[in-house]
Amino acid sequence: MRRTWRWVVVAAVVAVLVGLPSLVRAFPVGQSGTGSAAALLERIRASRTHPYSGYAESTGSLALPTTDQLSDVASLLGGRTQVRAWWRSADDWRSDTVTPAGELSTRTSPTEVQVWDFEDSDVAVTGPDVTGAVRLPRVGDTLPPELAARLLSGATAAQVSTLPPRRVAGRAADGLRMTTGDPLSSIARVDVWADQASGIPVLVEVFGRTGDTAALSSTFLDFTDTEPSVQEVAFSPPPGARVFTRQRFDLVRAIGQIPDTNLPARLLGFDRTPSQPGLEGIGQYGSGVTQIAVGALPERAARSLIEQIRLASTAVKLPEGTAISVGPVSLLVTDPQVTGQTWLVAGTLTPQGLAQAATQLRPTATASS
Amino acid sequence: MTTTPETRTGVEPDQSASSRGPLVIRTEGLTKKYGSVTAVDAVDLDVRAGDIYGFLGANGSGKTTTVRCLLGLVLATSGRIEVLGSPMPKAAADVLPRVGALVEGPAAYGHLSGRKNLVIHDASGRAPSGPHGGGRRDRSRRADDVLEMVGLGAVGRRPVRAYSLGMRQRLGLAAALLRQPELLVLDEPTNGLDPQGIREIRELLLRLHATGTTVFLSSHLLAEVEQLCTRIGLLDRGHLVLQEALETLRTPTGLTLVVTPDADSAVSLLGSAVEHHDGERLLVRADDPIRLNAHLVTEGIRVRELGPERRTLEDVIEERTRARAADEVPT
Amino acid sequence: MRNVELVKLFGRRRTWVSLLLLNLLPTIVAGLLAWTGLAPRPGSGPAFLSAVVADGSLFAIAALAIVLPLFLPIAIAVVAGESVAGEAQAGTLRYLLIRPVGRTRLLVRKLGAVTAFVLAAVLSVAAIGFLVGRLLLGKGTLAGGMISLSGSVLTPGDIAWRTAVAIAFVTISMLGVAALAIFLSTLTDSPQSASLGAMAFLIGSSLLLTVDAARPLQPYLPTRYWLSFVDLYRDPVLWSNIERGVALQAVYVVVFLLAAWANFTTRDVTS
Repeated sequence: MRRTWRWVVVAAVVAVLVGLPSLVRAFPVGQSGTGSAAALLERIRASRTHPYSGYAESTGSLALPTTDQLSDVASLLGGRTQVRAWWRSADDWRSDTVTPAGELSTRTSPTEVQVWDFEDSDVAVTGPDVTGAVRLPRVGDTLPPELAARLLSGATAAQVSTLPPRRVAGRAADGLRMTTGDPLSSIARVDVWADQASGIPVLVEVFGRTGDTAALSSTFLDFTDTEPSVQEVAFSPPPGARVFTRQRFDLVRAIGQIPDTNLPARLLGFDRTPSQPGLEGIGQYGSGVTQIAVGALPERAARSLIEQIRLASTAVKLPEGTAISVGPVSLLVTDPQVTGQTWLVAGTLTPQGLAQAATQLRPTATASS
Repeated sequence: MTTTPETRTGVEPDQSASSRGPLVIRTEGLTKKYGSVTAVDAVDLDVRAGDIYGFLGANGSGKTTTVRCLLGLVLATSGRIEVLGSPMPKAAADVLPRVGALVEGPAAYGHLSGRKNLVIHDASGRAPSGPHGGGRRDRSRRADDVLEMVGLGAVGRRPVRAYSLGMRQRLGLAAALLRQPELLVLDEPTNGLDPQGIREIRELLLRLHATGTTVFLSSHLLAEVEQLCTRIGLLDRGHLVLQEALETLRTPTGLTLVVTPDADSAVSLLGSAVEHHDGERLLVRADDPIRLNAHLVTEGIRVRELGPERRTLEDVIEERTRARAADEVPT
Repeated sequence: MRNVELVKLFGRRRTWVSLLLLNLLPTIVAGLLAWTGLAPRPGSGPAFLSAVVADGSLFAIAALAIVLPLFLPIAIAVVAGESVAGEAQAGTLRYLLIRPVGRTRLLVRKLGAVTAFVLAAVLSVAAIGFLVGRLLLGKGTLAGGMISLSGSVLTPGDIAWRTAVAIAFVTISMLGVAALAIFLSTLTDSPQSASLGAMAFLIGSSLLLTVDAARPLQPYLPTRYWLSFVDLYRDPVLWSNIERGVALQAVYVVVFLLAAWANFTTRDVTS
């Protein structure tokens, strides 16, 4: 019948069109050239200086049960964040957070950081990032290379294994899995796929203790490993825009003012790692993906920091203080009424986990108050 | 399906079929099923050039479905259709430009004038060429011509929404005539027309027929068909129960009708020659009506009326449809 | 030959009324903005609306963003839903087919006419938006230029080609709706049902876009990339979503037109 064969044609075309994306995805990627997981890890680390540009999307999954620690983090991320990035070097790059009707463009240069807000038509200028400084997490941190660098920083060859290569943003990518094996960490494992050509991480998936869905995933939708041009990275405030200077909250200096030498040697079961020179006031604990950093804050600095945190829509109020999370990284400024001292606690724990760590910093003070 | 004229005495055989022109519409076992309902069941139509073919049937007998099948609007479940010598609906692009049709009432865009409707209708198909052509340039002249032809010349520029049902019917007819078609397929063309209008349309159709147009007229109005058609087909619940020249149907049956107040005496006088007796009416087998009359009168039987028996179309239809089901009466 | 359908479409008062209504809403919004000077809070309301108070010529794009989510698709669903079913309801379909107009050809013509309507609608909204913005709102501080979303200054030449691409993109985005409505229009003899069916599909799609559980489905929803024309005003242009949007609409257009063709060419016309 004429009717039948025409519908068969339609069904065939629909099948082809629907099947095409999965077909492309299933297209064999070929073997990884790197070989062992340790070599791939090294390659990913070595790619830190490799320029790239791309369009990334990070997604927090809400499919996890609400009792899971990590789901709080995930829910803080809400829906999706889309970021375009042009990365020449660590102090010469631009990232644009894309919203449906606007943009938040961050230009990082050796001398300053400019943040352009289209809808407010203003530019906030702050000083350059300080290496090793504890700063508020920001959207640029969710870019796959940034996220992977942070999560894999403490990884050892024993923790990683390879995953079959797959296609990300149309490019062949080698897979690496890091398993924490640490029961206190909010993160069970991290899967990273790195571009075969450049070694730059293009897809990062962070899994919580429960559930098979990634609690946080960040992936490039478009990606090139070529160096973006100076014009693409450049930014100068447009005419008519309000330009103002925002004081960078210098945590390093603030904390350094009252170096606390009495920080415990162990916190939540994690050993303290030696502090960097000049940063003795900051105690760092743990390794790999589970890391905690603590420091005592002067009162003035604490007030200013809490104000900043409260401005962010993702801030949460806990009995112990005020917290903010971006991805798996949280930051908590404690209430001295509860913890005896204003602590800044940051790390890959849930805000509640950080709060628990804060109460252990001065067991005696908590008991006496 | 066709009746064989040889069975009747004194009747000329239907010679016209062989003498007339080529087949214009031919179907073989045309069947259309809507789900489990069979609307048209194995219909074998046979319309020849020069016919005015009356396609009769009660409402719901499958007339319109058949017409739609002929025009390729409805796709037949099985069977073959040939129109103007080509298979339908396969050759629709070649056949339909030579066919004018009015299917189940007229339709037009109400916001446009009658004339504009015709122009748009003309422009929506391929620009004509060949004998029916005239091309794009002649479009408005053609529209004016057909408007004049159907008697809408005066109101052609009024929007169709202001037309009466009869005017719309005429406009539909005008659209069908736009191409000077070889075959006109008309489904209830006089619907909504007043007697004057009906007469005008009848005259128009006869005029067109005289210039060589074959007309396929589907109707449930016996009178209309009887006055106009040369051949009729009768559809009864999807079956073609009759297809015959009207001439043949109305030829004398060979019996003589005698109306007499002295019926009983006549019956006893004529004996077995009386075929049928109904009150004052007798049907008598007689070779020579003149002699029969003389015989009756000399025997003192008063004769009110005497002549050859002719059946009306209504009688025939009643007989044919009764043959299929006694409980249904056609309209 | 296609212009017959155009004559029919644009010879109808209803078509012009729908175009008028389509332009009325952005004009009212512009008037209110000019009168009160109250722009919506940044980040809320339709795209660009918070920026138009400063630069009125941006209102061409803002006007598109205002009508795009609802009014434009409704107008198109009505016109496209009318295409075949309207002829069927009026009874003119059977006369078109025995004129004869091939069924496939008729579908193509109807698509052509609907496309022309989409183009007319989009262009008129952009043009009237531009005029209204210029007349009622600020003239802007840049001589003919505008500030891109990324903070760079776009030259009038940049704006011109970007806006041309934006209009083309919005038109393509609407073709998916048009194809769907034409398909539904071949299924039924009631133009209202066809239009409502198409609108229901779009509303369903918009709704699913807000549901997180439907995320795996979202890249395939017809309305997913509608507002991505905004990406043209970033610097450099973010082509990613625009390309995806065009590809997605192409798939919808192909599938629905094929379905319309398969259905219509083998269908009994009993209207």
